[in-house]
Amino acid sequence: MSGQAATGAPAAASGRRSVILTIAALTARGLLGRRRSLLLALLALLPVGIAFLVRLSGRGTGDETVTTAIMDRLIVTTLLPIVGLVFGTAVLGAELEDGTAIFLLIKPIDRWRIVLAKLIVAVGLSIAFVSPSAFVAAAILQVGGPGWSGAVGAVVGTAVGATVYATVFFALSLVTGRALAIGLIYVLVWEGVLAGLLEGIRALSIRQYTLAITDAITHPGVTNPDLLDLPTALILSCVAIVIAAVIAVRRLRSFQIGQADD
Amino acid sequence: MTAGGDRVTAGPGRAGSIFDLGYRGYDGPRLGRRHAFTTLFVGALRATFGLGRPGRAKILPAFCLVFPAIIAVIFVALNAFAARFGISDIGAIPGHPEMAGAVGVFATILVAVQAPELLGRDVRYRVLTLYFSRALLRTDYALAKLGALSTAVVILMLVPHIILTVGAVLLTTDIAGALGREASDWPAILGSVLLTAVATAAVALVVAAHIARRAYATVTVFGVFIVPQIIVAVIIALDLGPASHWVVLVDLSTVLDAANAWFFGIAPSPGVWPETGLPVLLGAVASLVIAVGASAIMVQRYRTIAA
Repeated sequence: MSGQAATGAPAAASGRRSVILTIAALTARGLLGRRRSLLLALLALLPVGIAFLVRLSGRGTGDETVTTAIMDRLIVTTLLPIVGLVFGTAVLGAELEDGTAIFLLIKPIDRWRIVLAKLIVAVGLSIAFVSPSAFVAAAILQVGGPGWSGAVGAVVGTAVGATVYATVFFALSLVTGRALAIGLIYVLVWEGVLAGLLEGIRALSIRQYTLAITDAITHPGVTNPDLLDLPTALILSCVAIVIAAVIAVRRLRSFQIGQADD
Repeated sequence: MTAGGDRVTAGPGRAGSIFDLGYRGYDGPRLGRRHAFTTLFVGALRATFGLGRPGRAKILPAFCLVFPAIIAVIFVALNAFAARFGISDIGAIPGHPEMAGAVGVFATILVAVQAPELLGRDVRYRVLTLYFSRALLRTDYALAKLGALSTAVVILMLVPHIILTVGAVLLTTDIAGALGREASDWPAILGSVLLTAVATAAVALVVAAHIARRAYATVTVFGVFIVPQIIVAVIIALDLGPASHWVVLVDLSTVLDAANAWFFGIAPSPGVWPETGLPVLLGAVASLVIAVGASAIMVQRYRTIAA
């Protein structure tokens, strides 16, 4: 199957699908099994461990400070963007940096197929590293009462957030060689500092989409004036994903080898 | 053959050397270890701000320099408005003591992005051996990089203080009095800024010295600064007893805030540190220990790193 994929796309329809799968499998294999994936996994386990500690101590459940610190600050504000940033910029950025991307880009494969394959890996891995952790942590802490609504809200919210972060940072890694630095600034300054000062920025903050979706599912029927409403958050998320994907395809179409180096 | 510390000795003839291919040797002045150190320091400092690099390398340092300056200008403007409406005594207007908290995030961004930039390439392209085969010692290399990044953070954090002082002096007609008041603040400013700069730069460089890939070093530095903060906040909020309060000492940003409070003789920012009930002097001591300890680890790493 890999031989068939390596010879290129214009064969049968099944051959085309396998191109996407082959690229995705190779990318995933290149990303996992490294020390950094292990570190990220440890980081992902951290909220679960802390939530467990809170439950053991018997004090924190229902405590607003503790729940916010774990669910909002640790998972949504730190873990989610870091994981999205690492996987989003690494799926193609790592190949661009060490110069092996050329072997992929000179093959007659449609650019959108490459983008789709890379996005599947970036989004899939980001969700896999964040959402289970968010689910377990929320379930242990019983966010939003004794039901499952808090855990489900955390899963859906982080899954949407991970998708948007990974897609946007993937597109960014094709636009600039310093995607990671710019992504960090976006997360720290734009979402961290400015969104707290200027309320209008909430509409352009992936973190706010995540929080809004999580909150809407956790507390159905209750509107929180500090957050976006659910339809707005979902629509803006989709818009961000589509725009980022289109930019990625367009960038890759006229890509000059070596320009993203450094 | 001028400096004494040379390791490379240029023999006068070709006899006895199996590597001597007969090329002309270098017999000009040898500038020695001190010159090599200064050159490396200046080069690293320029690299931190993207000087001598293409324009896109200047964007981020410029951003990290300009934003704190804008914040300082806003502080000055607030003071000007307060003075005009005669409410300058209410004490809610941020000044020198609050500056560290306002610009801290930009120091974090600068070191997170530039520490790997200063170290990563030399390891990755295996050019360390070229540095270490010359007059420069391994310790010198580590100290030059550490000094350069610390200096960069000092510059980043001093600029807003200078703007604030200039603004305060120009705001009044009593220039001498204003100068006196500002001068009394400057020992605290210098102490706080210096301690913050060395601690932040050293911690970032320790991470960058152990992770060769720049991108992942940057993310890890970011994690090292942010994650302990959240965990400490949770543990303190759980209120597990007085012994658990000491966990706050692993959170660099809170410890630095307490140190800043000690230098200015004010209360630490509301949040974690006041709840622990620990004295702010402990924050200053802990910051110093972190700064010295991280510097030592960084130097030790470069003593043993494979060149």
